[in-house]
Amino acid sequence: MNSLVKAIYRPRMIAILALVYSIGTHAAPESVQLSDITRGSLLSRDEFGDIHELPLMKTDVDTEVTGQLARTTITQHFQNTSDNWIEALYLFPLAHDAAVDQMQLHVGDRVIEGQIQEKEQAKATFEKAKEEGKQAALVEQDRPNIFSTSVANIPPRGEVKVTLEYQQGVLWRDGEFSLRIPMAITPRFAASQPAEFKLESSSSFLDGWSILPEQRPQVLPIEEVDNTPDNATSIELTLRPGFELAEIGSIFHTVDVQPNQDGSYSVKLVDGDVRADRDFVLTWHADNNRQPTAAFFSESTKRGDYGLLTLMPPTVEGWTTPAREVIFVVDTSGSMSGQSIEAAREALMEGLNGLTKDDTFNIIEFNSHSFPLFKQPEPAFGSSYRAARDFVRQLEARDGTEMLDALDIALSMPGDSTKLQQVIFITDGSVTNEDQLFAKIHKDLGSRRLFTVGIGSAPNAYFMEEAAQMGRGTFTYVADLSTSESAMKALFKKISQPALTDIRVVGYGVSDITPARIPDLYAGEPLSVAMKLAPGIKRLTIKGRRGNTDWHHTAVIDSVGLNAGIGVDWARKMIVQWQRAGYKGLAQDKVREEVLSLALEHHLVSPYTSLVAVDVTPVRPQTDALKQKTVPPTRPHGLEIRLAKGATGFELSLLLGLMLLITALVLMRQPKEV
Amino acid sequence: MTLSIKRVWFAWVLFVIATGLIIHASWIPLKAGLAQVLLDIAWTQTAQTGEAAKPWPWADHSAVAKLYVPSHNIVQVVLSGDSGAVLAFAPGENIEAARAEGAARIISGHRDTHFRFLQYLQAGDEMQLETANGIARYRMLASKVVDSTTTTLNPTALPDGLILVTCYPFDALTAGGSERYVVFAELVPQSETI
Repeated sequence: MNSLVKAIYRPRMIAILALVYSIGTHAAPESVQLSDITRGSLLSRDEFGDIHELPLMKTDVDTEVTGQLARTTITQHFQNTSDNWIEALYLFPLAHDAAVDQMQLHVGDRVIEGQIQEKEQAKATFEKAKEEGKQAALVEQDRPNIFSTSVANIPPRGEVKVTLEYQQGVLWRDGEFSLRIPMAITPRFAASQPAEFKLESSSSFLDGWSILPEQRPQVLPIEEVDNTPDNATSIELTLRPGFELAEIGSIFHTVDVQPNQDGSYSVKLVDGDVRADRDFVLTWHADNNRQPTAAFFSESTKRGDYGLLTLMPPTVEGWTTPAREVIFVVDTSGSMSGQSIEAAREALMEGLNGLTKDDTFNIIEFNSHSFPLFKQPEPAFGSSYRAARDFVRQLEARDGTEMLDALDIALSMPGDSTKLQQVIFITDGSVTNEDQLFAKIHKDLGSRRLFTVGIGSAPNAYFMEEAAQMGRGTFTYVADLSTSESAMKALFKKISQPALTDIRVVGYGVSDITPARIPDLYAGEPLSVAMKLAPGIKRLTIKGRRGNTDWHHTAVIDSVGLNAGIGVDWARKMIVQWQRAGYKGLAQDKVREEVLSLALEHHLVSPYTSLVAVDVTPVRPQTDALKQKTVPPTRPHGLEIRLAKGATGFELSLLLGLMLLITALVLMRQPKEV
Repeated sequence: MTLSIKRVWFAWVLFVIATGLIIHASWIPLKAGLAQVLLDIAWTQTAQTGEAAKPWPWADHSAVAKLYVPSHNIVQVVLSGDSGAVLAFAPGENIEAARAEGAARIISGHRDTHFRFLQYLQAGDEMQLETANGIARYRMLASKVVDSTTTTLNPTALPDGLILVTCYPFDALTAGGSERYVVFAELVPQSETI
């Protein structure tokens, strides 16, 4: 009889649940992904919680490209078209390596400036300004490279002017340099994916709208109007490529290019040709060249003089390559078993294939112990070459990882220093004694180059990148067997023909060169080196080896434009260098001290400094005229109220109760009928 | 026979549970209604004596306003705060928004008790809010259904306005859904007539 009871009320329960679910699963509201932010945008929320894009009235872009460095100043004017005081969020998409270091906001009569302050102080400044009811905002650069800052108290019909300065590297791919300036109109906010992110301000510190990495803002637009008049965008660009140009052009827009006396080019957007649906992309190529090209740029600032060296490999390949001595060190420890050891074997085979008859080589296998194939490097042909191929084929993974021994053997092996000596380290990098290994590399590497190849799903990339940098080599990542061959082919092709090695900058008054160990110049990879210059320095020499001959270039120092960002670039590279030193065991206090002084001096965001927006509007003397002006009350910015719960659900309880009651009554009556 | 005894026993258990559920469920709207009566008496007393009167001896909420919607014969006392403990007795006003200068006032209520009438409100409807400072009049602008997990209210965007919030949909059987029904109303200047 119990089963009868179940049969009576169970289906109804299911029916009710189904009803509830059908009510509960409403279509998700329309949303905008952060990737939809394709140009500088000012978003505001209306009283209904909907998000609108404020009309962009005017955009001025001023860019200086120096070698592979681009510094852009962008000014955008927005209009509050509503009759309300509003708060808005300014978003700007940046390239992955770009960083904003200067910011200025003009909101109505107010001027807000981005200041670099030590993190603690920035927080204090922010809290203090908030207490005083003043406008302040912490400026953040979100991980997917959206720069964001909140803009409060925009007066009705008022104008907002945003000025940003940011710096980035130019893109280089397949012989072409390019620079992109984001200006395409945000794609229509069509119903796309369900809300993936939302605007959030739960933290009091990050008042206003902030985008937390986990919770992306959800943008609910109702209308979208682009009021940008046709001629409201101007782009002016100065290009100092550092080599002879073969070609320069813009992909989507018509530009006017004027060569200048000093070898630079002035590029201007032709009036009226604003393709609003496209980013501005400028591309340029170097003229055909059989020699490496060096260009030196310098900048004089009140913080000191800075230099930027750019080196371009020859664009025509096929120069004579020096003979090499290659030592492969391969990890066959237990952690390499399975796919990894197969990928390592594949990589080694590819490496052997890449050797020529003039080259010599050796292989060192290591797990708990190290086993060199030969006592010293052997020529890459004949019986030794065949023996090596057999040796590689039988490699199996077993035992522990004792890397120091293997490294010691590789670095102490008698060799021929007239050859280009390369050590290729193939491992999954599961090591713990990194410090010892770094010390070993630092001490014994000598003129050798160290290339690391990381195998498997999670190689110790930190160790391998760092080791490669110390060894003036590169780190190559091989995820699995399928990518092993192509990655190795590319690596071996590259390292078989360096265009310039042993590069040094020689000159009185040159200091703090970064990277401190200048890597070699390879085909298809331009190189850039930053340094500090003593005032008054007139010339310096760049030296290197090209094949088996010496190479040098004398640069005459002649200061270029004031806003090229060479000093900023140097400071950014130095900060990275100090942080790396910190990872390698330099005292954190020292790292902090150095990074902090660099960041404060050069106005940079760093792990110890923040960009905080401070209201710097000059205080006007009180006059009668001003008193008469109605001043709207200061509105607390960033006030966001969560919606309270608004139902008790008593009806469902009542309904369930009634149903159970009926069931009970039915059950009580039934026996009499039986 | 044993089967039958078991069934009767089971039926009685069901009966007790059912009665419990019904009493518990009925208590909610009853409490909501009763509280309003007591709150109203206390509100009148407060207005007369000038001293804060407690609606019932153990009450720990304070009445801050009285909401009138003439077109729907609504007169409700509004408590301070919008937590679940408050909303069981009366609509509650958000404290954060109330403190903010120039921001809209936000009042929330349950869609199945006090704020059931929200679904019948239409743009242009008049509302009044009586506080210690006198009576303010509001005119409804619009209503909107939003998802509370992705949307927050920005009361400063509607200066001196009034925002009423309740759950949505109105006829949902279960509580705790994420959708909210929000009514926006603007302040009507004293000089103006609606």
